[in-house]
Amino acid sequence: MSTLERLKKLLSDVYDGEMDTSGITEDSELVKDIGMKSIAMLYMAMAIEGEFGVNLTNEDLPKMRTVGDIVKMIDERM
Amino acid sequence: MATSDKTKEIKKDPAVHIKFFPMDIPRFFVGMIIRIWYRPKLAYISDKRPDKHSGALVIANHSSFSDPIILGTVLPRRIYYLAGELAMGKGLKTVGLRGCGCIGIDRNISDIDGIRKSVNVMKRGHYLLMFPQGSLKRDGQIREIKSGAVLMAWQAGVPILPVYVKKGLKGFHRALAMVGEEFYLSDYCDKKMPSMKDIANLTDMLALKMHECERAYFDYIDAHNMKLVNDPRNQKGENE
Repeated sequence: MSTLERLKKLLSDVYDGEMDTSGITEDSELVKDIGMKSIAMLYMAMAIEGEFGVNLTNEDLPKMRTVGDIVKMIDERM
Repeated sequence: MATSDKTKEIKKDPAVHIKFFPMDIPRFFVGMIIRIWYRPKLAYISDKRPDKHSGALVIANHSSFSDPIILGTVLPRRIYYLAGELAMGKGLKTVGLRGCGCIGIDRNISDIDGIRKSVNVMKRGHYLLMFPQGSLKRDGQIREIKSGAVLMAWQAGVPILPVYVKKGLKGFHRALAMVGEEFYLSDYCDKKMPSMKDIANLTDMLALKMHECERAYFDYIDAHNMKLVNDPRNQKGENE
């Protein structure tokens, strides 16, 4: 499974299956398109650490603007 | 080996206590002053006592700047404090606060580094005190609770210990801390990874647990004929 697919699965779990992740692409913006608030961003970052075994820092979070940014960040560190 | 067994092993090591010596000195002296000034009393909601060896997230209402010091004195464990921006940056004040166990966390950003530090402290078997309402509420009433407490306790896998603390009991402004029963979030949500909806529900549950402690506090002071100088129950009546 690609990083994007795994990330979409994670998003689906975080939103309890209520989110239709089929339309999510690497260009989807986390705040504008997915509607993530700060607490969801933080939780998502923690979930990414658990799922992919990567370490994220305070400097990384503001750089996570689109889904593609996260995919790139994960792929670079795995 | 269970976490509490591991913690027991670690606590037998004298090096652990030497490490905390700089933290214990102010705790001892400030504790002496607090014990004389506020004569803080600890009461428990039930006979079930918190695990002596496990780390825990202590959540409390925040009605006075002295709350962390009172709780640090009266709870029978070394406590770390989630101190917001107060314990961030450089300077003597920050060094002093960190030395006393304060962990800085920036509430204006998603401070994942601060959360990681806090989670590690609890995983190592310590208490971490936080005020989940986020800021000081002078009347002591519990209002909106933030979800950060749930995220941290879930990540650390430690129990949550709710406490209601208020000073200002008539007779030299004595303080009383009512300690609730500790509980694990996993008892209320059996998923490996809770969803945002689960987190919101668990946050509401934290508020309920804190309200339980608040009710027990007032039941206790009524049963023991204690009076508060500024009783929020009277102010509530006046406002209505």
